[in-house]
Amino acid sequence: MISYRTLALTLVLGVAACETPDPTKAVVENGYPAIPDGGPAAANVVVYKAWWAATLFDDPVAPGETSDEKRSVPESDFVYALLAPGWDPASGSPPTKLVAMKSKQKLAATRGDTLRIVVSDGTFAGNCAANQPLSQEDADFVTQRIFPGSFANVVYSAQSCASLVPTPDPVADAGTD
Amino acid sequence: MRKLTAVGAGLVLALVASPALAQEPAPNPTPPAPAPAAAEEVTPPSLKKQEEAAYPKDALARRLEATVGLELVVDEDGKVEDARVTRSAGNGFDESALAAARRFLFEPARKNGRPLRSAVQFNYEFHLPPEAAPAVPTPAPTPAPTPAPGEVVQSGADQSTLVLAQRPISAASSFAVRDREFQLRPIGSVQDILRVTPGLVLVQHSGGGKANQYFLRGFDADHGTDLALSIDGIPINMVGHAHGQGFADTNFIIPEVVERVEITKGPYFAHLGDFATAGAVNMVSRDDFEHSSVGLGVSGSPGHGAAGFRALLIASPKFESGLKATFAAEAGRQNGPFDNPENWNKYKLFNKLTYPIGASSSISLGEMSYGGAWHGSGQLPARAVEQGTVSRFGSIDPDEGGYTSRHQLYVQYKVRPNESSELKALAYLGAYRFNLFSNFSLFIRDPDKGDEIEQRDRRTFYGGRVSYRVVHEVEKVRFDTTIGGDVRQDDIHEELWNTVHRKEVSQVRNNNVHETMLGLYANEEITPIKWLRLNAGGRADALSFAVDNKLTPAGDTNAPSSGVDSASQLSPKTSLVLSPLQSDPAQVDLYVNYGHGFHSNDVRGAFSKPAVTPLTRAIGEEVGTRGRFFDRWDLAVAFWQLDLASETVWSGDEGTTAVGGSTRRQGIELETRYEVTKWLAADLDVTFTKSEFKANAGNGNGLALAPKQTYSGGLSARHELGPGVVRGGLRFYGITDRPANDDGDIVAKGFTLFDLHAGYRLRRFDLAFDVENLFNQDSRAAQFDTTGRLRTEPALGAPVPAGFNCGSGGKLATGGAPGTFQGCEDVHFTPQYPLTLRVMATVYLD
Repeated sequence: MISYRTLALTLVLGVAACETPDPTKAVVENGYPAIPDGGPAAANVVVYKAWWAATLFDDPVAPGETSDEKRSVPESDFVYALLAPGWDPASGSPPTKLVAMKSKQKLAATRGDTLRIVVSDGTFAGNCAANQPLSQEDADFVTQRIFPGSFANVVYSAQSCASLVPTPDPVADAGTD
Repeated sequence: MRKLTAVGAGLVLALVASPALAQEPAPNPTPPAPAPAAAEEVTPPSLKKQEEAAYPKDALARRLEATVGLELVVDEDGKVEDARVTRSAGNGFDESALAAARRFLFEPARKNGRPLRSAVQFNYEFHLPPEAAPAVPTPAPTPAPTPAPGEVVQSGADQSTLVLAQRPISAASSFAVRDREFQLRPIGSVQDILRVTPGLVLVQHSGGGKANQYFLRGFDADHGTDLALSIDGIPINMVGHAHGQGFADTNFIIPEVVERVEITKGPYFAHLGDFATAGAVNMVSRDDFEHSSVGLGVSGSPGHGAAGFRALLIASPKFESGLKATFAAEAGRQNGPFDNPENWNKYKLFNKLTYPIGASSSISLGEMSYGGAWHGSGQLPARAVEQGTVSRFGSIDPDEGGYTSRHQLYVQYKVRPNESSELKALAYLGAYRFNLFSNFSLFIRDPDKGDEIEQRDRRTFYGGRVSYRVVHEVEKVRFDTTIGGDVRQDDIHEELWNTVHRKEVSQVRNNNVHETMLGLYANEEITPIKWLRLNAGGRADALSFAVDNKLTPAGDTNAPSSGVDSASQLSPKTSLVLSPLQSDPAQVDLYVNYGHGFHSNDVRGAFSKPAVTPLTRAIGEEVGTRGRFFDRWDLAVAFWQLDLASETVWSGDEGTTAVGGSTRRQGIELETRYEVTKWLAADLDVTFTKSEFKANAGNGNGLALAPKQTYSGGLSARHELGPGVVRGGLRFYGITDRPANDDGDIVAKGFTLFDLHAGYRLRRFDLAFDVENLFNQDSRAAQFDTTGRLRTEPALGAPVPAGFNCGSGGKLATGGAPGTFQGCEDVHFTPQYPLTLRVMATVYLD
C-alpha cells in the first residue's frame, strides 16, 4: 500500500517536472552578404536598428550575423528597420546614412516561438540601392514615428533614401509685416 | 483496562475571536489577567460531560504513556466547536484524545451571565493500567470516570482556572480575524488573506512579483504608503524604497503560516507608528501546525497563458519538552494570463521555534526567506488596448519585471511575571534586494529606445520592539497600563537607471541612505465603571537620517544633495468607549477616537527642491459603534475623518519631488455579519469616502485616485459531510469609479469581482478549489493617470495630425508649443486576472 509520504514525494517530483512554455522571442538576421576580408567596407550593409511589435533591436547587426534573442510577445505586425550602408559599428561614430525599411509582409509569432526576422532586399522594401523605395508615407512613419530619434532635425526622402537638413522657409521666416 | 484520563490541567479561558465577534488583536500568549473587578464579570467554561479516550492499541501493547495538549473551542452552547492538538504525543494518542474531546460538553463561559464562545487549553493524559489489568477494547464513554487505583483524575471542578481577558477593542474599526475565517476564502497568496480587512481592496500591480496596490480609507496607498503592514511585529513597509516610500511586498510570506490578522484603522493606537495613518495590519504566524503536510497546487486562466504551480512542505515535529517547531518551504512558478508570461519563479522559507521557559514565558526564534524573479507586462495605456495596438494581457515593453529577495531573522520573548503583567520583546534583522524594470511613459524620453528604467534597492534593516503591560486596581477603578518602544534602522543603497533591455544606459540617481526611527509610547486604559473605558496615551517618534548623494547628472537640478538631518513628532491619542447595552438580545459599544499619527517620507526628498517633510502628520477622528444582536448579528458603523498635512512625496520613478497640498478624507464604514445558521454566515462591508485637497487649486479640490466607495461581502459555509468537513464561500469585492487625476477628467474605472471557494477536509487529505473572477469580468486593477507616448504616435514636439486623439478616455498632454504633440494623458492600467482556477491538494503526514 502506498504510504502518505510516498504520495507526497510523488507530488513534489511531479511538480518539479512541470514545464511551462517559454516566452515569445525574436532575432534579427542580417540577410545582406558579408563582405570578405579585404573587401570594400563601403559595401557593408549593417542593420542599425529594427522594431517588431513590442521589441526593439538596438544593437547593430553586421552582414551575415544574427542578433541576440530578444523577449517579445505573440503578435502579427510589420517589421521596421534602419540600414546603415558602409558603416563600421566599431568606428565609434554614428552612421552618416540611414535607410528606412519596412518588411514586405507582416510577420507573426505565437507564444513560445522564436521569430527569425531576415532583413534583406528580398524581405524588406525601402532600399533605394535595390530600386525598392518605400512610399513617402511609409518612410515618414518609419522615420517620424518608429525611429524619430534617429531622424531628428532631418527630412528623409523615400525616393532617394537621403536624409536632408530642411532649409528654412523664406516666406515663413519673413514674417507677415 | 486501566486507561486513565486526566483532564483539564490548566484550564484557560480566552474569549475567542469568533467569526461574529470582531475583536482587537489577541496577543499571544493571551494578555495578563485583569483585576478582579473585571474578572468577576467573566466565568470560565466548566466541563459537564467528559468522554473517555480510547487507549491506542499499539501504545497499550508497547506500554506507552503520554500527555496530549489540546486547544478546544467551546461555543455558546457548551459544545466543542473545534479542537486541535497543541502538544502532540504521536503513537495514536493525538487522534484518540481529539476524538474524545470533540464529544465533551461544557457549561459555556459567561460574561455578565451571557454565554460566550471560549477557548480551553487542555491536557489529556494517558496513563497505563497496572500490568495485571486486562486489556480491553475502547470503553464506552462515561460522563464522569471514577478514579481507580493508580489513576489520577482531575475533574473539571478541581481545575486550576485562570481567566485571561482579551485586551478590549478601543475602536469600532479594530479587530482580529483568525485563520478559521480566511480558510473560507480563496487563498492563493497573502494578499488574499489581507482581503479579510473590511474596506481594504487590493489589486495586483504589474504581475505577481511586485507589491500590490492597496486602497483603504480614501488612500490609493501605492504599494503601502499610509498602510502599515507587519508580520509578527516586523515591519514589511520599506522606508525610502527605490520604487516608492512604504513599499510593502508581502510576497515573502507563505500564506498557510498566518494564524491570524490583527487589524486597526486610523491613527488612534499608541503602539503603532510609521505608516499607520489609514490603518495597520499585523499578521501573526503560527508556532506550530497540528500536522506536517505536503501540498501541491496548480492554477491557470483557461484560454490565457500557461498554468502555474505551487508546492508546499510543512514539517511540524512534536516534542515532549513543549518545544514548538515549524519548518515550511514553498516553491512555485506563476505565469499569469499574460501574453508575456510572468515566469515568476519563487521560493519561500519559514522556520520558527518556540520554546516555553517555565510556565509563564516563552522565546521564539524565526526565520523567513524569499527569492523571486519575474517578468511584468507593465501598465498598458487604455487607448492602446482600445485601439487594438495591444491586447489586455499584452505588453509594450516585455523586459519589465525584476528580481527580489528578502531574508529576515527574529527573536521574540514573552514573559508574564505575574497574573497581571506581561513583557514582550522583539528583535529582528533583515537583508533585502530589489531590482525593478519598469516603463511608465513608454517612448517620450527616448523615442527610439524607450523609457525603461531600473530601480535598485539594497539594504539591511534591523530593529526591535518592547512593551510592558500591567493591570492594577485602585478603589475599584481598573488601570491597564502599557509602555513600550520601537526602533528601526535601515541602511540603504539605491540607484535609478535608464535602461534598454534591462541593460544600463545612463545613471540617474545613486544614493546611500541611513535612517533611524525611534518611537516611545504609553497608554493608560482606565475603567472607572464597567460601562465606561477611557484610553489616553501617545507616542513620541524621532527620525534621524543621512543622505549621501553619489551622483548629480549634468544639468539635473532635482538631484538630492547630501546631508544629515532629523525630525520628530509627538502624537497624542485618546479613546472613549461606552457600553450602554450588555444584555442578552443586544450588546452595544460606542467608540469615540482621536489621535495623531504620521507617515515618514523618503528622506532623499528632504534634500531636494522643493523639499518634502520627513514626517507628515495625520490627525484622525472617529465615532463608531459595534454591536451584536440576538447572538447572531454583528454590526459596526464608523464615521471617520483624517487630515494629512501634506501630500508632497518623493517620486522614486523620476527621482524628483511631487508636490501636493494638505488633504482631508472623510468616510463612513459599515460592516456587518449575520449567522444564518450555525454553518452558514453572510457578511458585507461598505465604505463611502470623500477625499479632497483642503486648498482649492481650481480643480474642485479633486484628489487623484482616492477611492470613493468600496465594498466586499459574501457567504461562507462549513459543515460536516460524510467523514470530513466541507467548506465554501462565494465572495465579491469592488470599487467604484474614481478620478485618476486631480482635475477629475480622467477616470479610473471601478470593478466588481466575484470569487468562489470550495474545499473538503479529511483527516489525511484536504482539497481546495478556487475560482477567481467567477464571471470573467474585463476590468482594470491598478490604474494611474500617466502621460506617455506609444511608438506609433507622433514624435514629441511634432505637429498633432488632423484627426489624432488619445482615445476615448485620454487627452492631449499640454506643456509645449500649441498644436504640438507632448504625449497623451491617459489611464495606464494593469488588467484584472480573467477567470482563474486554482486547485490545491494537501496530504497530512502524521
